[in-house]
Order: sequence, then structure tokens, then C-alpha cells
Amino acid sequence: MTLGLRELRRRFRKFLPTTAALALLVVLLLMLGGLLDGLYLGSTGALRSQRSELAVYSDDARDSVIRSRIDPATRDSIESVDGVEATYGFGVALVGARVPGETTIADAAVIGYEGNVDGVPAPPPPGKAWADRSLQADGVHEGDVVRVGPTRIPIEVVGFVRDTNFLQQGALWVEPDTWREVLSESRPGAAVEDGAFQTVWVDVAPDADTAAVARAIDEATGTTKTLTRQEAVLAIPGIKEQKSTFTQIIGVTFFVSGLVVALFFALLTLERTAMLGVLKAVGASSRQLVATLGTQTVVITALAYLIGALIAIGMTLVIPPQVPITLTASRAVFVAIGVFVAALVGGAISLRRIIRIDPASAIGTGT
Amino acid sequence: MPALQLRNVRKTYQSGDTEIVALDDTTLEVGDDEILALIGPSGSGKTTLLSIAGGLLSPTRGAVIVGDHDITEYSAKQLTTFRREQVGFVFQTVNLVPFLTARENVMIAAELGGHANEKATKARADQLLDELGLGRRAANLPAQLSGGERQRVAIGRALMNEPQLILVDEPTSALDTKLGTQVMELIVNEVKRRSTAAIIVTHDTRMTHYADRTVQITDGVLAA
Repeated sequence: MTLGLRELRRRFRKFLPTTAALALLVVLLLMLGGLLDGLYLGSTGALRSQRSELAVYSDDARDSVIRSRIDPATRDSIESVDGVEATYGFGVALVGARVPGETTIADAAVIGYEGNVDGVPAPPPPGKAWADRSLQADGVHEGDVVRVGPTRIPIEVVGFVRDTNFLQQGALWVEPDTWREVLSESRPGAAVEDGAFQTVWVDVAPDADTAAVARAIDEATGTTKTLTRQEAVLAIPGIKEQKSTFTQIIGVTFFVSGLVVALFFALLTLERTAMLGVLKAVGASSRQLVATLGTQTVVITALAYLIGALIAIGMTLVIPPQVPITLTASRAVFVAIGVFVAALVGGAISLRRIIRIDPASAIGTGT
Repeated sequence: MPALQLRNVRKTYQSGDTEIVALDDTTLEVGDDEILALIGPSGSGKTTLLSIAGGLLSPTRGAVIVGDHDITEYSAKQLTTFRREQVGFVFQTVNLVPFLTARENVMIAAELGGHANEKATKARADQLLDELGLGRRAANLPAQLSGGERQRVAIGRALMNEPQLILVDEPTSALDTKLGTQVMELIVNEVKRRSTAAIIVTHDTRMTHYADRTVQITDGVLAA
């Protein structure tokens, strides 16, 4: 067993405060990341799950699905553009939903669609819906008839889909006429005519250039703005701001993690300078002593990550389902890599001091 | 073959614009089973001489030969290996690794050298500890040992790799007279029993009678 591991095993109390601090930072990083992912995934699922590459908005909609309108004539123009293979109408109505047996009104997004959505089957018959699984937390079961909007339009849930919400509201995927009915009843001023949608998703022909087709659509209609799927996702209100804010907080937390490790090992190295001098005098190379520090950094960080991850998982189990927190494997890997890099960079601050320790200091020169 | 040859060794330090001569034109030979006592006041250069002999410092000028190793031009890496394999140190302050047991402290140089046969290394460490009267303390940490016991572990550490030369820095300075005498006797007995050469730096003239020869150093200059 190496020197570093022996010291960790026999003097673990010395390393405990740093391990605990690092574990808490891991909890913070995972929870912040989980919230960011939860907010992002819960707001964007309806658009991320589209198979089409392009989304066409009316040019006065300021990239908002709710404000956009595409009438049948505009859709015809879109379909006439070279490189457009197929189009699919899409619209959203944000409403309250009364769930049988529940006193609380659930937030729902009634989404009218014509198909071509990942994980969502073809549109169900009128008055029926595929519901997002998140609505189960509001008491929705298969076969339930939920009543949406101020006029309590009945919609029967025929099955569940996942990760398809819009703006944190549970998705109810319905055929277009049911959506239009819900929209006109809940927001009469925003009602759309038969055949119209809020946006139109466009499949681009395999041999066509996506950007060129987008430009051609806007030129052909003169009244639209075409976005890629990713642009449409990021155009959802608040998404960019959420990402930017959380990313900055997460970045600062990584920096603090590195700082904690850097300060700890700087103090530890200072405290054991004499011992390291003796070890060099009796034949330890700088490389071996640096490896000792590296081993300790890796073990402490691994332990802190394990503890932090278990605490974070435990916390997500007791946090109410209304809090949009989602711990994903990719987030866990990202935090693990980030914490290890921050810790190794922090630990590396002490490398120079270790390398510069003079073995002659073990017996004190100059006398 | 002599255990140590210093030929016209000079060591200087720069302090601002001033050159400080720590060791001046020093020539010294130590026989292969000789114990040499090096005495002198503080700042006389005795620790510098010890450091150069042990490959902890390189001379500014002159030649340093330990056994058949001319270490004068050795790189830092070569000196590290040389110290690990050819020299045993007993430091003024005991300086054991606090989180290693007595046995592990004795084994440290062998472990740092990556000796493959751990079982043999452990057996040798246990044998050394037995000879030093610490057979039952092998699993104890330094904090669980008395000052004399710690010094004995340090002696065991110095002897572990059967070095050609043992360098002892003020072994009795931190001990009372009785314990100091015991430690000196132990060092001398162990060194003699192994027919190894040793240089013992001390400012305590009462200890010089343990040595085969005593050399005085003053202001970096040796006097027989």
C-alpha cells in the first residue's frame, strides 16, 4: 500500500473536514445541475421530441409558439418550397386541468399535433389524449377523463408518454381539432381558424441543405421566420436565461471545490515539509511524493463524490414532485469529471512546493 | 577500499554579494569499518560536510567518492537512488513518519526503492527491530514509542539497506545524558557489528570516545 493510502487510512480524521466540504459541494453541484436539467427538460420536451429539423413561426411572433400563427395558405407556400418533404402542424394551449378525485387543478399543456413526434404515437381520436407521465404526480391515471379550461372540456387519457412537457406544464397530446376547441374556449382572443396552427414543423429532404431550405421558406412566404429545432428550443421564454444563470453558479461551485482542495493540500504540505524532507533524504523521489498527493486527492474526491451523490439522490426522493429536479446520468458524469478536474488542479498548486523541498533540510545545512 | 573519500571539497553559498565558505578545501578519508566523530561549534561546517558525504548537497568544487561511487557529478535523480541504496541517515530530530508503524518506518527506504520481495524485507525489518530490542513494538506508531525507542527505530531505518556509510547527525542532542549514552553505545555496537563505516556529528565531546577517530572542524576547515 502506498504512503498516501496509509496516511489516509490511519489519519483519516485529518482529511475528514475536506472530504465533508467537498461532499457538500458535490451535493450542491448535483442539485443545481438537477434543477437546471429539470427546468430545461420540463420546459422543452414538446419541442425536443419533434423529429422534424425546422420549425416555422409567423415573423411577428418573436419566436414564441403561443404568439405564432400559420394559416393554411402560408402552409401551402411552405410545402411548395424545394427541399420541403413534409409538414406537421403544431399548437399549444396552456390550461388548468381538473383531475377526477383531486382538489388541486393541474397545469396542463394541450398540444395539437399531426404526428412525427418521438415517443408519442399518432394523434388519438377527438376528445382523447396521450398524457405525459409527469401528470401522474397530479393524480392522472389511464382512462381518466380530465376536464380542461374554463368550460371544462372533457379529454380522456388513453395512455402515457414521457419527457414531452412544455413550460413545466404536463402535456396532453391531442388531434388538432380538439386543441383548437380548447384554445378557443380558454383564450378566445387567441383562437385559430380551421386548418391553422401556431407553428409548422418541416421535414427537409435528405439531399437538401437545411439552412438553405429555411431561407427559401421565409422568402417564399414573406411572413415567416424559420428556426432549427435547437433554436426553437432555446427560444422558449426563460430557457437561455436559466441555462446561463445556472451555468455560472455551477462554474463558481467548481472553482470553490478546487479552492477547498488547493487550500487543504497547501496547508498539509506546509505542515509536513520536514517529514517530506526526511523522505527525500532517505531516497524518496519528488515523483513518489507527488504521486502520494495525487493518490490522496483522487481518493478524497472519489469518497466525497460518492457521499455527495448518495445525499443528492436521497434528497431528490424526498423533494416534492412539483419541484422540477431531474438527476441524469450525463449530469452525474459531468459533475464527477468537473469535481475531479477541479480537485486535481487544486492539488497541483502544492506540486511546486513539494518538488522544491530540499532533502538537505532534513539535517539542516550551514552548521 | 575507503568508505568515503573527500578530495579538496569546497562548498560555498551566495548571500547577496557575499560568498560564504561553508567548507574549504577539505580532504578526508574514512575507512570501510571506521567510526569517525566530527566535532565543532555551530556554524563550523560539520553538517555541510555530512550532507555532501551523503549526497544531500553537491560540492562547489572537489570530488566525493563513497565506496566505489564517485558521486561528484551525479544528477539529482542519481543522488536520490544513491542515498536510498548506499547511505543510512540518523537525523538529529528523530523524524519518523508519524503514520507508519515502527516496522514500516524501518522498511521505508526499501519500499521506496520498489524492492519486489516484500516478505524478505519485512523479515529483515523484524530481525533489525529484534536486535534493537523493539521486537514487540514493531506494530506501534511513533506516537506510541518513547524517545529512546524512536531513536532506535531511526537507527534501524539507517541500517535496513546495509549501507556502505552511515551518517549520524547529533544523535544525543535531544536526549538526556543517560539515554544519550545508551543511544551512542547502540549506534557504535550496531555499526561495528556490521563492519560499516560511520560519521557521527556531535558537539558533545563526552561522546567522542566511542569513535575510532575524532576530527575537529572550525570555520569549514578540518584539523586532525
